[in-house]
Amino acid sequence: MVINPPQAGTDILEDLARVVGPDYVSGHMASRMAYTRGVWPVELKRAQAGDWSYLPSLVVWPGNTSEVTQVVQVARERRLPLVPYGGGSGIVGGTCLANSLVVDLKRLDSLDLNETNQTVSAGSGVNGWHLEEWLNERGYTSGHFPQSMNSACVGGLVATASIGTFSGRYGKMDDLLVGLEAVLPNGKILRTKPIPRRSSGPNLAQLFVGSEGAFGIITEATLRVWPKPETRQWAVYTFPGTPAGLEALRTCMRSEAQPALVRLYDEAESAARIRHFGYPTGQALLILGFEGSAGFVAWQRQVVDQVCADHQGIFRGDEAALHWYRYRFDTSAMLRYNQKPGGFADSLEVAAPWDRLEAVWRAMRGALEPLCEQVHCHFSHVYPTEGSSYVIFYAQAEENTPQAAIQHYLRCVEAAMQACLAEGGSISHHHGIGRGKQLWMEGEHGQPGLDLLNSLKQAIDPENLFNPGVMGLA
Amino acid sequence: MNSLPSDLQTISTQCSLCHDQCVSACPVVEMTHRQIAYPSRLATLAWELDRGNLAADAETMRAMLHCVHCNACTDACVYVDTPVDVTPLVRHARRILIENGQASPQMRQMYEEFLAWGNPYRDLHPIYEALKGEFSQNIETGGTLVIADACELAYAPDSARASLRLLQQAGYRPMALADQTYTGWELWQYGYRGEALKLAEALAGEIRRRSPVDVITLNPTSAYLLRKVFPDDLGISIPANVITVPEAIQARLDQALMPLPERRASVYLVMSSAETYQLYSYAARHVLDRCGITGPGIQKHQPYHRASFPEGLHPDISPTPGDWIAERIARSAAVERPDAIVCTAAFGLKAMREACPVIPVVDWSNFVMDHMVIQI
Repeated sequence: MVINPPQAGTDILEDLARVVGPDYVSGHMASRMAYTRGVWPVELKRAQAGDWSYLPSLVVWPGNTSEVTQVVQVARERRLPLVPYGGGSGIVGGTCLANSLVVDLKRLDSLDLNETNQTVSAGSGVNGWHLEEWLNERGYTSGHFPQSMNSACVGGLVATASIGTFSGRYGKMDDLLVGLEAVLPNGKILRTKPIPRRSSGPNLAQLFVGSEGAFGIITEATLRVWPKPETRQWAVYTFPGTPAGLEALRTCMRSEAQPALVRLYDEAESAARIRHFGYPTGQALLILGFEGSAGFVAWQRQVVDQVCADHQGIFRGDEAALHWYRYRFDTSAMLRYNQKPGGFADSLEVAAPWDRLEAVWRAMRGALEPLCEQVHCHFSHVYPTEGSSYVIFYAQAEENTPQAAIQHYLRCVEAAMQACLAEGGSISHHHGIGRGKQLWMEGEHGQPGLDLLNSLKQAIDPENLFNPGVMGLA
Repeated sequence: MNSLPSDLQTISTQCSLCHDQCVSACPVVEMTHRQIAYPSRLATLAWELDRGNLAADAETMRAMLHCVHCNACTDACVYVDTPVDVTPLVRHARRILIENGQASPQMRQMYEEFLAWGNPYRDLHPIYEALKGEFSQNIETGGTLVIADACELAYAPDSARASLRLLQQAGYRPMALADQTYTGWELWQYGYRGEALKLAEALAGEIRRRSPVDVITLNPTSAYLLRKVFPDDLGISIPANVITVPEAIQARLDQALMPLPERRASVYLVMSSAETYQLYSYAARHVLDRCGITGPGIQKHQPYHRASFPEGLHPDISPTPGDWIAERIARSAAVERPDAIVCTAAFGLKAMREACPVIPVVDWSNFVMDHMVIQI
């Protein structure tokens, strides 16, 4: 086993302790181990193998924005790369960097509700679930329910351009973000006005949506909130195939009756649920969720029901939807694959315009099936213009070792990403790029686009100290 | 080389590679903001300690002490149908650390007081003897054996008396107090497995000798130990039905022995983590319902994982979030002004009284006696 010794000396530990207090900085192996993974399968496999060569040097827990600026100053003086860290729920390897200074932001947990503006200002360390509970107690909802909401923090949700399962009603993080506060690599504090719609040049707050810590450390975000909906209802339909279901969804999204939640499972992913609920085999299953006032939801359901019927959809009650809701955080099937030394499971979420979505889905499935034991696919975020295809793949390397699993995993991702790009898709819809998808950033943006991003990075962080390596930025 | 027993190996593998859906439920993560408090990270550290990749030093012990055994993570586990309990792995790691001389000064103090007094709360004999005189000395076969737990005697002797009176009025006769008051929660939790085993064996022996129909524990955690931990973890079978005081009262209520008046009160009910996470027993709440306190009367019942105390911990030993949770409840109570805050366990009562001087904080037994008419 290789364990890298802390590259930072005790003097930096003392400098940081002067900023945050001795209890809030650590170079101990136990603390460093705790930050050596998010949930990217490569990180999990390294941990399983006992490979700790990716240990950070130090961990620091600043308690306010002023301390964050001072921590940045110390890191700059020592030329120590730093990684902003929230809940550690990222699945693309965006938070694990050897010999870095981890800046854990969970102590930034302030919450302030502005009922007049219908916004909440949340410290970047506020846990997504706690935010929702806190708002619920006051009669509001964040409307943001990503799979990771139990562990992800507000800063990370912004920095990865996340999305929640009820995005049809509440929107994506880029829609939710009203303004933010961030500490820039030069140590200055950026505070954008909480006015998202302005014609005063590019929206600087949006620059940080999906920035993955490369442009600065988000310390607070002001997000739109909603009154808790009067009702939540479910509907389930089956379709003779995925294309019919997709066409029904496309039509739904072009009507005014867009459901809050959409989950269309392709035939393969539908199979287990179809068996469980006794529906005819070979169908594609669609789960819909509706939220809002009772009258609005009743009208939505009427419109959507007609659209589904027009596309050969058959109404199946709400049982399968309630089942999904109960098990929505249960990823145990994936975990069981990860537990096998040579096994792994992961998800890839891509996007494509409607006229390429089916082709992207088929291409990615076709690329992964020869390499995997199971490939599941569903469509869980759709818009009038495009949709997201979500692929879950389970595989076992020929040699039953974590090292072989990593190599096989990388082959799977490469095959899927190439297939996606070849069919005109976008390599990430809401997980981000991290270090897991950086190889395909040129295919995503084109060389001029990637050059522009690199120029931005160079201008904002000339010493390349802020989460270096994410998003394929030099 | 991994030497973990297979059951711990399974926990380690399941937990250390997890997606962390449980952390929003963990009160210690919320309090400390430390990644190291994540159950998955504790599992990883235990694994690496066992593999020899992590030093058995004081810092590692500090890390492993983050778990307060509340099992909130088990309740929120991503394995919805077969949730994982990480605590056996944590205890295993603590035992390794103790064996390597890494018990913290506070743990050593607890142990020394246990050696001196038979419990970590110093001399409880005067209180125990005063209580014991009021009950049968020997129930022989039949009757009820009550374990007047050390934590209750130390922190809430009045509450212990009230519980005993309540049980008597509910018809639990003949009733005797167990000779052994300390059931060993702290020792077991901190990895002093051998000592916990001896306590369990002694207690099982006393129960076997007295042959009671029921064993009632004043502290919910003790019921958890006797019912679940001793048989499953330590391998000691307990030859009697073990119930908590609220469960004992609920059992009598179900026999319709207590007609209840129409009374209303707005209360916070603060239950212990043993009741809510480990025994899944909500008898305390059901009894209040039957007292006419609930329905529209209970206007606020704190969510269990917010209101549960990881009680049973020695308050000076662990980074217990009990005081912190009490402060949160107190803040909420200052706004909502319940008529009372009702606590089912001594440690919760102590923490709550310290945190909330403006609202009456009462123990569950006294509150129940004040709100019901008992007819046997």
